[in-house]
Amino acid sequence: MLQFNRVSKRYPDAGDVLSDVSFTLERGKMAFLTGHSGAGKSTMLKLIALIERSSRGQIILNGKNLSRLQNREIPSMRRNLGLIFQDYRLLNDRTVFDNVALPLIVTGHAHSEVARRVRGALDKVGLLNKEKRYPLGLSGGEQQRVGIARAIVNKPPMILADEPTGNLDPDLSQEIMRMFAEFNSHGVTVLIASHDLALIEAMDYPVLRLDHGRLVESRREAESPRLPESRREAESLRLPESP
Amino acid sequence: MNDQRTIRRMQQQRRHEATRSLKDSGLSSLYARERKAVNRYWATFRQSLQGYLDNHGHTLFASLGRMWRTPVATTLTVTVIAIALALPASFYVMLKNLHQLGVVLEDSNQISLFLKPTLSDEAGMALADRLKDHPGVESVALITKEGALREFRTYSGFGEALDVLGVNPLPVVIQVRPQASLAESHEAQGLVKELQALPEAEYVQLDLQWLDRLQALLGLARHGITMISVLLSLAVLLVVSNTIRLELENRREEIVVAKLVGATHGYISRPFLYCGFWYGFIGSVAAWLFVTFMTLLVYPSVQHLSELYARELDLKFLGFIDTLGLILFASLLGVLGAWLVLMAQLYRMNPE
Ligand SMILES: Nc1ncnc2c1ncn2[C@@H]1O[C@H](COP(=O)(O)OP(=O)(O)O)[C@@H](O)[C@H]1O
Ligand SMILES: [Mg+2]
Repeated sequence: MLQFNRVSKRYPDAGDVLSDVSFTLERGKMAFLTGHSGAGKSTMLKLIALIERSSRGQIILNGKNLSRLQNREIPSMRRNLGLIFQDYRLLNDRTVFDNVALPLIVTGHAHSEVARRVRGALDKVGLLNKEKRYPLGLSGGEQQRVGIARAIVNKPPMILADEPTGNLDPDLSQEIMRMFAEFNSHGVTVLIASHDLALIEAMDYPVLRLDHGRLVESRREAESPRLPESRREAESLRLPESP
Repeated sequence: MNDQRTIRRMQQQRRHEATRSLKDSGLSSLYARERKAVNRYWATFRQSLQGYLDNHGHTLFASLGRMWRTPVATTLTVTVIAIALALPASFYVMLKNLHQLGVVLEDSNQISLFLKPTLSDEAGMALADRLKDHPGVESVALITKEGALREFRTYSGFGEALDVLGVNPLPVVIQVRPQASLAESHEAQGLVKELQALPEAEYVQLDLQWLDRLQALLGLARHGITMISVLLSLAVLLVVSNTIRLELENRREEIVVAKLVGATHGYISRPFLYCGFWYGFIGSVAAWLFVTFMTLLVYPSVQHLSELYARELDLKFLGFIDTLGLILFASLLGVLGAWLVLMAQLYRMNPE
């Protein structure tokens, strides 16, 4: 599903933000991406979502080499991704319903179809009764759930979340993470960037750790005893042997 | 209202399910399955078409609604556009009316034959009778010495000066209207020469020279209007561009989010292109109103002119085709202005 092959990203004024990153995330798996602030987590997700382009190496997503992708192919690529942001990125002058509907509207779905799907997505995140509210009238957790509903409304095969719990208290964070786990159990590939180590520890998924732009460690099943089922999950994340 | 919609949807769904179960139970042949596939294909097609139309129609009026919500800014922009369009358009109408005047005068084709002052009215009448039978002449009119004096008194205001003279110094005038147009035919020119050769003739005057000058002036004005039109079209383009640029700036966040959820440039551009269209469209309709209003304002003077020339001069407005052209052209300009900005701005806006 997703493969990084010796990927580097250089910003003109910040040098190499990612260097020589390689890993594979298989279809239907879920993994965490962690590391200190400024380690390059967001940059990595931006490369996958084609918000930025890699400087070297290749990224293969759904069998497509992203470095070779034309600009006009980007929208159709993004429609296969559900993006979730720490700052939610909601449009505050639009209702919850309209925010969630946006991915369907931009792809030209008919009104009847839009309403059905939006209510379905809001139902999944437990906000069905808030569809007429505006984002600023909601709590942080609720806003993030609106963001999640928007990310899943067109049923993308992959979800990328950048610090989805960064602004939430532990209870809410756990609830959000449980939500991701549930999407994953329905076959959605999930990659979550987070520096909330406690939260990550509490969940049983493989972890990619970045340090100053380098992939330094992946927590394998060896570190903590796992059920065989989750072992397979952990193996879905493969790192090349370091030289 | 929402409840009603929900109920309606539920009803539809139930109906749909009912027909489906009917089909499933009775018809399980290959034919039925094929037909179902075709139906499904059509349903998808209809749905995406519906989505497309929903979207276009919605966007068209949504951009109008957006303009409506900032009435001051929109009014200002539309007014500037309307003025820029009304200026050349009103010149054009003026030109059309002047041109009409020129045609009318040309058509009048008058030759004024001033007789020698010593000749009497009777001599004039005899000459007029002779001229009437001339094959190149359509009609003649005689202005007697008395008549000329009356006219002079009315129009010049020097009546008292003539009283002092004691005698009437004004000559008899025969106004000759030739068969052919003076401007065009040699026959008419020949007639002029003949009249000049008459022993009774003192002076022959044609209303032709200043007509030529008028035509030349009109030609010059036409060129001037073309140039002004080009410049002001450019102004309209810039006004729309700038307005759209500001609008893009205001909606940057929305655009970025739309891009992040997979909106194409085409989708993002659409409301702005429609917005440009509306500016051009509304601006040109307003311009039409301006021009028509101004034309009505000059109506009294045109009527006065009509009386002076004893001719029916009907006031020319911006015609149907001209108006249609103006509106189409301005709408296109609006779209073009928006498009130029989108090309310049949208592709530079991150993320791609
Ligand atoms: N657009 C940019 N231009 C220059 N430097 C950037 C840009 N975006 C991020 N960086 C730098 O890249 C590094 C990694 O950033 P980021 O990926 O946001 O880290 P993280 O999400 O792990 O906190 C930081 O040092 C940051 O300053
Ligand atoms: Mg970050």
